[in-house]
Amino acid sequence: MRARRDPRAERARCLVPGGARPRLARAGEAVVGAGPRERAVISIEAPAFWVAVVVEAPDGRLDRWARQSVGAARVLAGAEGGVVALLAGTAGGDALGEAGADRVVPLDGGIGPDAMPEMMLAALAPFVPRHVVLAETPAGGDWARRLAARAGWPIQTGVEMLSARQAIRPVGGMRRERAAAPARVLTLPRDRVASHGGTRREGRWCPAPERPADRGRMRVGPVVTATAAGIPLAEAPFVMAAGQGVVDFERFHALSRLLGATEGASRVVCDAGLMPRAAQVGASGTVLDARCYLAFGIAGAPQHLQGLGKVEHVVAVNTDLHAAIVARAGLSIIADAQAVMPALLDLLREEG
Amino acid sequence: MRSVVLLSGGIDPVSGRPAPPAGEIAAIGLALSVGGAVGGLHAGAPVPALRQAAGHGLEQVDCLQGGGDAVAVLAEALFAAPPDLVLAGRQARGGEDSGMLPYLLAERLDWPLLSGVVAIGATAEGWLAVTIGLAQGARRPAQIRLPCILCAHDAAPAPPFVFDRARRAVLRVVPVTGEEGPGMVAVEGTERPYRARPRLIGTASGGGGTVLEHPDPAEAARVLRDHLRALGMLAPPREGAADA
Repeated sequence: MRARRDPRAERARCLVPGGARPRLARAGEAVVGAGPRERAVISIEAPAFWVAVVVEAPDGRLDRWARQSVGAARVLAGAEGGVVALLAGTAGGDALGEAGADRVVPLDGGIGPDAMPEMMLAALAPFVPRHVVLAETPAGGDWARRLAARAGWPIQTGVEMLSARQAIRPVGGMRRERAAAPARVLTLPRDRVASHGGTRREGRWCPAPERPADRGRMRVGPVVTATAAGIPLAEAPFVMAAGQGVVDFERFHALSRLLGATEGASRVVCDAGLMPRAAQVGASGTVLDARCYLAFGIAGAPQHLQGLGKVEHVVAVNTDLHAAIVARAGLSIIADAQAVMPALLDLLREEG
Repeated sequence: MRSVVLLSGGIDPVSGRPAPPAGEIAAIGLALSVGGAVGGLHAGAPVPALRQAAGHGLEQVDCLQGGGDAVAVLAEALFAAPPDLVLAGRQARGGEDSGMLPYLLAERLDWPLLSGVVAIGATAEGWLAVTIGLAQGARRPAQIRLPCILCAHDAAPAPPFVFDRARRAVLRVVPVTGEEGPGMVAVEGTERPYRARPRLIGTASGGGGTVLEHPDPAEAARVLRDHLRALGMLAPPREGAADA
């Protein structure tokens, strides 16, 4: 289904927040503004009802999925409702207000999964939320099911389309789907609901709930992160890839170890047997979901750029100024990758 | 140690043919890695997917036939002959597909539950060591008190399929009297054939990037390092390090 165009929203996006003036003159020059303006913030004291969302931010950063789950809670809350975010992790400042949360309740992320539903219920008790939204991450999906089982609430998992009136999810082995009113607990896969794009919300911090007593049935140790080489390419946050412009693979491997990046490669390099087939990035290889992609000697064939899917930041080192990857990259260095790699290696070794 | 693997009447999402879900095959692999007796358990009539699942290493699958709420039926069977370990996949394919059954079962039996298990270690004084798989290849060690329910990670090592074992597996029908219990809270709604909906398209930050033409390699390296550091992909320099 294609999203319907909204010409009014498109026109509004061409204006500065508040709609006083356009962002850019037609000629393409930036309009000289009157300095930074106060950004509008919506604060809500006593909404008609609450919608809760559980947000994970283990590294202190709200990722796309977390923003989308807050956006889904905003959809369910509509104009009258308020959104309370239960934050498992550390996201500082007003990142959650920006994402669309009216209240933020910090949760102790170090608590084991066994005690998590009790803690969530304690945090939710003052709000009595109409819905609780969670991302279908390994931890979020687990918490949602524990919460639904403990509280006896109906749950819809893996909701693919959500509005205030109905939620649609696949059933029967992805052969059928069921449309129903949104249940008490909902879990969201990635990229199904847009994140909140409207005015900032207050994101007022509320006191944390009491830590429930441990039932002594399980002990959970600390998370052991994988080494960059051990992360599956499709999940790696930082990928460094080699193309035809790379000849010296000893240096390439040394540099990836120093940078802590997972290694990828273009099709030509994999065909030549210089890198394993599993490292291939692109349409017939792996489609990345990285935050940063560092390309050495890659021109950027269309099939390769398809593999960059949702990569946030692309950095390219290439000899050709007119290569396709230069158009996609946030920083392009027009130079020989074989010369830049040793220089970067020396610089990083010098720093220690 | 006696383990029981919960099996669903799985449907392959692509072909629509009976096939056990990946998580349940992984659960059989985990049960075999523990050693001891391993049996299958299914709430409902015998279906072809059970025989296929048994081909991955089960000799017998008990089918609890007689209707009623699946959670209540399974809980009764597990309570009558309690195993040390109950394993399940992440979620079934072919029914409600919510992945709630192991959680409701754990709640009813009052057993602890862990999900996303990729490996099972040793048992010591009633505690079982397991490894939980997280995103981006991260792992988390945990210990859980026996008896318990474990949900296998889809990526846990799967045992190979042996056709002869599938042929010889015994699907034993156990008649049960169905009891209507407050198991799964039903969600009302209209059901229809699945329609694939495209995912949201991410905002690719294309164009408008900085272009540095033919810089000195040392200059290029410095710009690259500073850019990666600004993006947060590179740790900040150590105190007192020489900065060029």
